[in-house]
Amino acid sequence: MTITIAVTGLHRGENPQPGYGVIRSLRRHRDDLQIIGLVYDALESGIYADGGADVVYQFPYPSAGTAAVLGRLDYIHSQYPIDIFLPTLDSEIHLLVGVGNEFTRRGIRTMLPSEQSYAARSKSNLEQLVAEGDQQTPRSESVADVERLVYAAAQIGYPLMIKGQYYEAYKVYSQLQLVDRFYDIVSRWGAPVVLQRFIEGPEFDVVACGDGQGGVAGMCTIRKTILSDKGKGFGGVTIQDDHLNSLALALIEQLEWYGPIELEFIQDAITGEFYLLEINPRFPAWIDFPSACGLNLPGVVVDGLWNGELPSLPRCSTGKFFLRHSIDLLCDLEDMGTLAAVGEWKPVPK
Amino acid sequence: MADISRLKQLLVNDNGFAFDPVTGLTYNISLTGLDVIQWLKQGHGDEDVVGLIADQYEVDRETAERDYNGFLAALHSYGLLETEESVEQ
Repeated sequence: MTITIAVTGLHRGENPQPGYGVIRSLRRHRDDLQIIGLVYDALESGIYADGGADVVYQFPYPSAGTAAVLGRLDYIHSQYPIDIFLPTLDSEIHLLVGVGNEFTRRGIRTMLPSEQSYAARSKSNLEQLVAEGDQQTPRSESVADVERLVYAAAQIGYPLMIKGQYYEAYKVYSQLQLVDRFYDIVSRWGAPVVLQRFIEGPEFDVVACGDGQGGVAGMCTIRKTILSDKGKGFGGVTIQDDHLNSLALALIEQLEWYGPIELEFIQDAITGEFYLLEINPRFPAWIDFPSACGLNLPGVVVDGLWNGELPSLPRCSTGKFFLRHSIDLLCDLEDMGTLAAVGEWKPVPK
Repeated sequence: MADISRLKQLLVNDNGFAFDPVTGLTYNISLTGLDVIQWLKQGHGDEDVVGLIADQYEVDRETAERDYNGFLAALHSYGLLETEESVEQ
């Protein structure tokens, strides 16, 4: 029996999204899949990449609201009955957490955290979360206006990090830069933004799939070896640091997290202490890397949703590394035009 | 005698390329350094290793001891070697 899975977030490029990596992982995992790509823009590069979705539909932005999103989903569901829906972007998960029953009612399986877990890991609640678990995060302030922004920055001290509520993080050195970045981020992601004390040191990422009862079905830890200007990990190596893993596992247990999760840490170069930077309610863009190493977390999600029980995977082997690699895709303008005009497009299998 | 448990975790190939699976850092180690790590992993004490360096590389004991201590200091600075004091802390 073929399983039909809808996946979002297909854009790669400078600020890559996880969806195409999720699809590649699913293709590695099993052959009996029909993948529906849900896209916001006909220029999302993963639409045209080899091994991508079998059919692609335009989808409304989360800002259009739950009714618009579910309405479009209903139409797509009528064309290709969806078994599993895997949203991969923060802004989507923000919208969909709490409406899980809408999917259940439609016979669509999803793996989303509870509203409580989701809220507890938000950037503005991070200090409270780590305090309860006796861990650390850089001092942070959530601010929504310039007056409080400037005041909070003076309290934290420069340089500091300014972060959007869903995406983007910049290091700023002065009030002038800070205010400029504030307007820039708010114009795209809205207020509030989070100011965070800057800590110098190497960054680490942990990706896992929580079982909803405090455990994980699988976990991979990397040290980021290459960071882009936007702070994205464009290279990483798998490691096995028992202390860091225990910090991540404790947080997942504390949250009773269900589904994909990414935890970002920084290690103070002077003290060696780990600080939690943020927790993302989704897989990272490099998710196909651990899959290629044998730890296929998107596959775990599908198996868990399909069989009703999460499998348990072995640890990711250490010493494997990835490098993000850009290539130019050759596309036919007519294909893009069809998707843009009709809202759906079916790639010809190669 | 230093604690070499972290050193034992270091994955080293014959060319001197080393990977630390805990931190993700990589190192290039000289051939002499490779020998020293090997001897330490085999359980040789400081005096033994200094003697082995002096014999193997035909240098006087004073030179061997100075180089050995310099290498230990480098390993310590990378967190690959812990002295008993730092372990106790």
